[in-house]
Amino acid sequence: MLPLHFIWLVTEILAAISLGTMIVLIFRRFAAERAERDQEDRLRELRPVLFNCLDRQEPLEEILARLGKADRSGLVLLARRLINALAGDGRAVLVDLLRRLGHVDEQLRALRDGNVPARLQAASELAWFDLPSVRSALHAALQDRFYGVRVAAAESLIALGDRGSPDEIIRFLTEDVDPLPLSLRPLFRQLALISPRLMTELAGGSNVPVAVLAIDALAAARDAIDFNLLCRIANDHADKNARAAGLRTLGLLGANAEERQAALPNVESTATPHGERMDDGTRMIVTRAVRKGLSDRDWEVRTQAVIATQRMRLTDAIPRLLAMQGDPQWWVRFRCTQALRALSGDNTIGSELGATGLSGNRLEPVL
Amino acid sequence: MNYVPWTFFGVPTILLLQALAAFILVNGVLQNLIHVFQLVLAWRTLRRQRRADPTTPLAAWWQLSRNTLPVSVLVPAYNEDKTVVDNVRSLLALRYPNFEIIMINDGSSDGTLERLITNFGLEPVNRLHEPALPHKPIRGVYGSARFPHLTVIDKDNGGKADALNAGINLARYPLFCAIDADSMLESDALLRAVQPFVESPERVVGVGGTIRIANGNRIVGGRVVETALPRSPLVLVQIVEYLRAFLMARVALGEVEALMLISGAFGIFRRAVVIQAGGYSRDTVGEDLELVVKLHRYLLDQKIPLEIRFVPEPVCWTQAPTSLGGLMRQRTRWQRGALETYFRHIGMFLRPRYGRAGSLGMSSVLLLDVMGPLIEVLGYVCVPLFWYLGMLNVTYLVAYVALTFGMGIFISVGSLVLEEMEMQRFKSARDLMVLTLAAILENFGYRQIHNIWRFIGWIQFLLGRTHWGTPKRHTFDGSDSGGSSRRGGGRDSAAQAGAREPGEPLPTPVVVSPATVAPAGSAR
Repeated sequence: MLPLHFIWLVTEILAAISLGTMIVLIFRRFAAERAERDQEDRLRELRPVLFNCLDRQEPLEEILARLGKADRSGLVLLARRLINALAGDGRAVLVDLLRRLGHVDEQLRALRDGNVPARLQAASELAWFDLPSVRSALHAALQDRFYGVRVAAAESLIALGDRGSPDEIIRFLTEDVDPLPLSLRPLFRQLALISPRLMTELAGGSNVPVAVLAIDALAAARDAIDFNLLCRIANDHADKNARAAGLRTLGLLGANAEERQAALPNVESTATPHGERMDDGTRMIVTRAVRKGLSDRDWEVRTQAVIATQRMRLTDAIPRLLAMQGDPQWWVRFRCTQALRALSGDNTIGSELGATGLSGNRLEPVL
Repeated sequence: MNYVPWTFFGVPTILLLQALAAFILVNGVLQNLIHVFQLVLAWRTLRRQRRADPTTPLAAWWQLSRNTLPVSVLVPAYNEDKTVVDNVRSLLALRYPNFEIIMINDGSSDGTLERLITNFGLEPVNRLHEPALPHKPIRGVYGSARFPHLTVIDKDNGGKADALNAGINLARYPLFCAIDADSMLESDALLRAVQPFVESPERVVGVGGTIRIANGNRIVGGRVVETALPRSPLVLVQIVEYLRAFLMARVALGEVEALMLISGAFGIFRRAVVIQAGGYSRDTVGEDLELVVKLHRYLLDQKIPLEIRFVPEPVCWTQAPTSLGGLMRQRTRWQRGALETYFRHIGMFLRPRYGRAGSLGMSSVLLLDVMGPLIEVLGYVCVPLFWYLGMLNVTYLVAYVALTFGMGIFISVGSLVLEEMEMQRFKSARDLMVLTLAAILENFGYRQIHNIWRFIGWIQFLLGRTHWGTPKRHTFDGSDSGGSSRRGGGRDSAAQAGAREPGEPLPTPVVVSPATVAPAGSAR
């Protein structure tokens, strides 16, 4: 066959295949549209049944006994749609309903044998069921070949308050993973609430990316903080990211409740922040470390030191901050200006509207 | 290749013409092979990416909102008084935990600034900023007590790149998202687009999302509330083009780490890296393409590993030109932008230090965008002529026609197949039927006209033309805005469509003649 004939033949075959596939997909869509309409009709009919369950007007067993197989799977779908919007008793009823409808077994099977989306969904939804079989399956899922499933399983274990596995979780989420995703940050913070000692150990470890995450997470810990270690990290660690994280954590631990909550919005810590119960000795070493950070060789670290100064309201550092207006890095000078305004009491509109106080004549020219 | 000798020309001339015909055919085969490769690669990539992607906006919020980075959304605007208020309102309603909006009024001569001041209760503020990138003087900065996340910069006119540079300087967050003033982000677009930065914070420097055409959709208050196809055949074929460009070409190029363009209509970048690379170039009409190529070049020169990714699911809606004139201006401008960038960075071509960007990326630009329109137009003229004159036989003609039309249909319908299998963004089976028809018919007429426009873009480039064109604008609901304005939207090439119809000529363009950017040549 001549090359020209070959071109012609292959081209026409490809065009025919694409058109044929498209026609099949169009018919598939027609069928899917019809099926979706039917399902929505069925779900509409099932909604009163779900509300009946939530109102507890009848025992669940009686309600479920009346349902056929298709209705039961429809009810599962409705309950799953609603469950994240509910809390308290309503949520407990839905969890119970899903358990009775066999959703746990179904999700355990999906977590073990399903494809990636199914495993992801199962790893997340199993957090609703505090059962030994669920915990065991989630532990196994920490070794899933898809990283997202491992993270979802870890989050579910933490949500279930599984206190026996922080080191296992960290091992499976960080070993041979490069680079570490930022999505581990909130997870580490939650782990710091459960196991601050492990976080402290990791913070002082030799694996720098893990150490940086652990240092950051310690800002969320309620107790058992090794301030001496944090201060050493903040001033002497070889890695600038670790030093910056150390200063950020020190600043947050020394801050008031409002600032800490704003900086760690996803951490549900109701304990009194360390800043409001730090003893004089601890406060002194933390203050010394923050002050030392103001002279760090890296601007990223100096910036975090300035922010920590502001958060801890170290008013006696004002002269040093004024001197830092000559810093070669714009961001350091900017954070200095913010800190000076905050510490001098002009904090009403932040730095944006600054026409008064320290801002107008003394600070802006250097920026 | 067989031919019937035509004695009038003589043997050397005939051999030369025969070689030209062979070159046209080989180039066509190569181009189509690239497209087939892109289609297959895009299919594999989309299948993999879609596995873990939350399907609904609510699911995206549950799953993604815990892990985000703060983003400054930069919106340059020039004479946008018809749409600017709706646009800002829709941006303020974005679902994202931590973002600021910086609207940059680029010296508008209409009531853009006044409308913003009135509708959002703006007052002059003094926002301290780092003068990291050059731009035209800022006349004033405005903030609002009611909308603390909104900042408006009023500056002298300097063009889109100049406005974006000003916005970057005033941005406070580590990432910035550049969008067009007439584009509409889906509510969860930022959440999804930021994920690559979360997954690989040290390496990812830029992320692009899909641009889709908003014409025909029901739009309320600057938001797409219901999707539908437009009636205009011209817009329908552009929808197919955008599918090819975004779901096929960019997904594939992103996968092989050779993505050379993030559309100016929607792209997120690491602010510090863009500043280090010198920001947006103010002397090109293709500033978005130029920025990405420049980032590749700068970081690879410094031996810093980088990733520029494309994420198909975050969607930005944009208005497509509805008239042939408007579309022609857009496409000639995109062609000029591609040529300017290609010749400015021609030193990257096939240089080992630039890795896949220099080899795959620049080769793709060369074949599809630089040489593509020239060869196609040459083919339209020469092949029928040579056949008519008896210098080519029917077999050649049939092969050429098959390549032009058969492969065109395969690629276009293939993109639609990809869309339906992996994304399913079109509402109904009827929409799919209409688009399939458009994907077939665009090969008979539209494709040829489009290549002629790109050829005109080539000529304009050689003549040193640098302004944006003079189109008509439309409000979000489709009504005519009176043809006022603008500073120029994001660009894209025909193969990499992505932005919107251009506006009035920029009053202060910097002339870049071909001689200043490279030896005269081609680009895509």
